[in-house]
Amino acid sequence: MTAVLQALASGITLGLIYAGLGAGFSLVVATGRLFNLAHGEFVLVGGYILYLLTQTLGWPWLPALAASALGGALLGASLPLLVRRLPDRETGGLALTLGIAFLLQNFLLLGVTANYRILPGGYWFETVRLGSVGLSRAALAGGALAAAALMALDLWLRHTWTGMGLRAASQSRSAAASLGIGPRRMEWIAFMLGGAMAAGAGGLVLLTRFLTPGEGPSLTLVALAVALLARRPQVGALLTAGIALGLIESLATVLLGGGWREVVASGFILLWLMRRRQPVPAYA
Amino acid sequence: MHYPRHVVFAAVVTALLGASCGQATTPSAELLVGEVDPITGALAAQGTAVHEGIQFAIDEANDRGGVKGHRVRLVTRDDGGQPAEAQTAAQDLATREGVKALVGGYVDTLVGPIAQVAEREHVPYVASSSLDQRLTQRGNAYFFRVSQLKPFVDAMTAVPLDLTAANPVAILYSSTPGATQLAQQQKDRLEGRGVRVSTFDSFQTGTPDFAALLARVRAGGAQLLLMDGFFADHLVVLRQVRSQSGSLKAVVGAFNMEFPTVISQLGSIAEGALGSISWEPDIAISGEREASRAYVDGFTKKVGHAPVPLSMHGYTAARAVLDAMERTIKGNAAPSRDGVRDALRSTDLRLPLEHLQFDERGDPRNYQIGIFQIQQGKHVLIYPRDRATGALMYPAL
Repeated sequence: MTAVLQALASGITLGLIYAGLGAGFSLVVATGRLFNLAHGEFVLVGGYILYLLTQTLGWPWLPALAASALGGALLGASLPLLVRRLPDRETGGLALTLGIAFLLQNFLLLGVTANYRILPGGYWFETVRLGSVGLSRAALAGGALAAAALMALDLWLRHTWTGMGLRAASQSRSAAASLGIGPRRMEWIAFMLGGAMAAGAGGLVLLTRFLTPGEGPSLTLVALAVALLARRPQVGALLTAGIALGLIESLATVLLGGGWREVVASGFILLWLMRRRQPVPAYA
Repeated sequence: MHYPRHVVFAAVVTALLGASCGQATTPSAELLVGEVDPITGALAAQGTAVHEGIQFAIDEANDRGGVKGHRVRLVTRDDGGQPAEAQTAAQDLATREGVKALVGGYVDTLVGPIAQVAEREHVPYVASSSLDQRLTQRGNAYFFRVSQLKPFVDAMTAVPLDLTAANPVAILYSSTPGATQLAQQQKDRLEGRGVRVSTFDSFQTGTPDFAALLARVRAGGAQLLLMDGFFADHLVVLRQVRSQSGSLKAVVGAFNMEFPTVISQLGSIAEGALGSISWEPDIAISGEREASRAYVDGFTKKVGHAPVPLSMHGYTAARAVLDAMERTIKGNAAPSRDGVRDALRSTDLRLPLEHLQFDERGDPRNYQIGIFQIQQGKHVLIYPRDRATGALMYPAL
């Protein structure tokens, strides 16, 4: 019973982090109609900026996180310039972003080497006990940060003119344009915001895992799975998708064994996709 | 039309000379050695370490004037950690580049495809990091390696059997062929000696979260965890295990726990962790200590940082190939691939890693593994006992 409770707690914190990883990806799919296969590399770039600023230069976390998000926003801002040159965004975009992923991975290898970067032990890795369940402060903080970021995004999308414009452009570019909302401008904003959120998620990866240039593809896969399960970049849907994935992985491990983790999670995603009606993530 | 006999004779002689010239080389001709390693991708840190060791061995040989006057050129291909890429790269090196031998390779999922190409194309291949017993049991006459499985089983099971009397024991293993075989043999050995294996579970290397698996370990009441995983797995497990230790008293990591970055990056979390080791700058389990010091000095000067154990594995594999080529070259004739393979069979090199001799299957006869523990930020060798540099700290969690 303790093992199941532990799996539930771990699954929820893992799921919150998954939701945070998927948010930027989902936003770019919904508004920019682009499956950014370099999303994982964007996450890593953000993580490395954060690591450099906090661990090497001694910056406090909040300004470092802001600088990391800015770096991600700049990366995101470069995408529309390239994407608009493609005759077919859906398929050409896959090849383009895959190429960007390879480029970024190799730049990271040259710049920061293949060595792993991880936060050292200390306060953040001490255990917090909740009855029979134990979680590290880092896992709890990572989950809380992801949830807070998603709620902030949702509030911004619902209650600001730019956010509402972005949602409108996602649903119908022509209708949005007729209302005076520039679809191209909205696309810029979406790509920049998506890049910033991806880079911010690098903080979650740094806090709970490690950084190494080869990790990008696996992070992209997690983001893709969350975006497809959520179907729309809204806080409730993203949190549900992330937590469902995290819980399924954790429970499959505890109840069936570690070898079943990927099998059950992949089966769940396949079943979910078979019953969906919406072709790609979009705002409802 | 008939040609005069002396014209036909001259033509035949010319053709034969031409053909024989194709088999010979001038003393300055390069000898090509092919390397396939994961320089990018999830195993880039490990692949780069192996590559640095191989490159150092080649540079060292060239600095001494080459192999019997021939410069040696290393042709490196990156497999990105993908088995299909490893196979394609090996095929390219064997057929288009025409290398005399192949070296390198990290983990059996990548070494296996290279070994298949080696057998098909008749190119001798010395793998730097391989454990899968099927690779040497299937009778591939072109496959050799500098490491093998049994010493890992002996050393890691010695922790519960000889050093701690821990019972029950949990075994978590990566789903790679070598790690899976290691885990099964550990389980058989422990159960044969009356130790209960309370959890026996696999995982995919790179799993982002071990909390659920550790919950199973905790529920089973294990006192010791044998963690047959790789560097990335250890980083996550060591961070998570303290919040879920339960009755667990220590963790023993199979591969890459000896990387200096475990200590430099994890800090106090790494304290007390145990790992397997074959060699490192201050530890030579079965190799030559003097040669070890010379290697560390030379490597550090050339590469700019101290070598890690995986670099030593790459170095050892490359030294075996260089030595075999040297013994094969007769006069100006370039070594044939079959000649290099035959010379590898009679390898007898005293190296920092081991006294390298291959058995009839291509496995190293004298490879040994020890167990170290991280104590106050340093590796302390605790097994084998006759080489121990300190005592085991137990419980260690």
